[in-house]
Amino acid sequence: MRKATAQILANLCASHSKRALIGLWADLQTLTKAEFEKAIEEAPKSNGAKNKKRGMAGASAVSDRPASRITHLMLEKCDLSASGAVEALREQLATQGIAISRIPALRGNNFEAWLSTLFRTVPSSHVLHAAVTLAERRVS
Amino acid sequence: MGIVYAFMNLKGGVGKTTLAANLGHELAEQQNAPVLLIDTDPQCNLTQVFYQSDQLDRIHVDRTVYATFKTPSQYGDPHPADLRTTVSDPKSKVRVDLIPGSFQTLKFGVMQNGLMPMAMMQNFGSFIDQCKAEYASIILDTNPSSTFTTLCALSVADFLVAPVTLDAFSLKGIDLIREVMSTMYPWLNNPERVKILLNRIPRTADAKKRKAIDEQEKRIRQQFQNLSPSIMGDRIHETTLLSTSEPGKGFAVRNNDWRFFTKRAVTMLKEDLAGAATDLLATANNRIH
Repeated sequence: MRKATAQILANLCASHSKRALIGLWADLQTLTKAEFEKAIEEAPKSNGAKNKKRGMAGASAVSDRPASRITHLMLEKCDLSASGAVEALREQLATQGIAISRIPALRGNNFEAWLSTLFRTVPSSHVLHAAVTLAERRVS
Repeated sequence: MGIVYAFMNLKGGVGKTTLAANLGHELAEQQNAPVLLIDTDPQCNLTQVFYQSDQLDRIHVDRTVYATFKTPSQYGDPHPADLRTTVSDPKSKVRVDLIPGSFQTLKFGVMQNGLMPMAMMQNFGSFIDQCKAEYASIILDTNPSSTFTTLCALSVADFLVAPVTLDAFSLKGIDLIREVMSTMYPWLNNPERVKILLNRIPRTADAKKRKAIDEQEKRIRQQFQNLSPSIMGDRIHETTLLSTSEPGKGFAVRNNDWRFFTKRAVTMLKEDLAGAATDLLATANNRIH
């Protein structure tokens, strides 16, 4: 498969289910090249940049990595700023027995980048548990 | 000194063996150091990841985990080099070795004399000490019941890694391990030494389905509050790469199928495993420092 084709397929995979793509493959197989070109010309044209943006947002929404889930809990559920979230997590992790020296300082305002650094020294399971505890406390 | 991880859950079918093998490969890659897999399960499922059943039949019992329990034979104490086989790709920088399991270890379940098992457990412990000197990580695959070999695995383990599916029953399997075995191994009550790995989580872009998964995890965390700190943040998503592995196929992450969907599935599986391995290594570092 050509690299460009693989990229197009990757983009399609990000926004469509496997079943939909296999359906697409089945439909395309029945077309001649001329019919396929006609289908492309007749398809509604959309803004490429807009599509790209929507695709990226979709991709980030799909992620259920601990960093995304912790970010959601701290910045959205607890409604904290990046520095506020770092401070709250630092205190909660300390109560869970994590040495403060293992928790890096926040550089800039990138909370997810800070989490990636933190995960090298503090297991993500501990950090997620801390975030879940803080979010539950906030709700109650 | 190597860290020993016992992969265990008293509920079967949660993915202990496939995760023990593939996470072992990932740990070797991340640590850039050799990893040893030991199949302590008499059913030899881990061994069958790498061997077809006819190949398995040809392995002499004295070249399996069985030899590590026995009192010194005429050849003396077994050394890891006597029993191991490298199961990773020889061209790759990653090295993973395997000590095959043996159906013969089932015999240990019916021993009557109390002194004999104690001596055998000590033999196994001494063997693991030798392994620790050579390997960064040692992974023990266990069978889903409280047999003698399971107890031996716990006697040498630094961490219990418990794969679970997202249902209360598989968490009960961990609770049961604690209930049955924590009198003998009090460290099982330490949440830092028990790592629960959510397996076979559906990978979906559907917001409703994802919310339902998060809600289910939340309910489980509330139901098993003492286990909540042990639940790992990285989930292993459902993939045919792990669920349909045939005997002798080897590591799912080394699948060299050229098809686009397989390549993509391998990449996503590797991402999941990398997250889990990072968590395990950070946990081990926390304990050491």
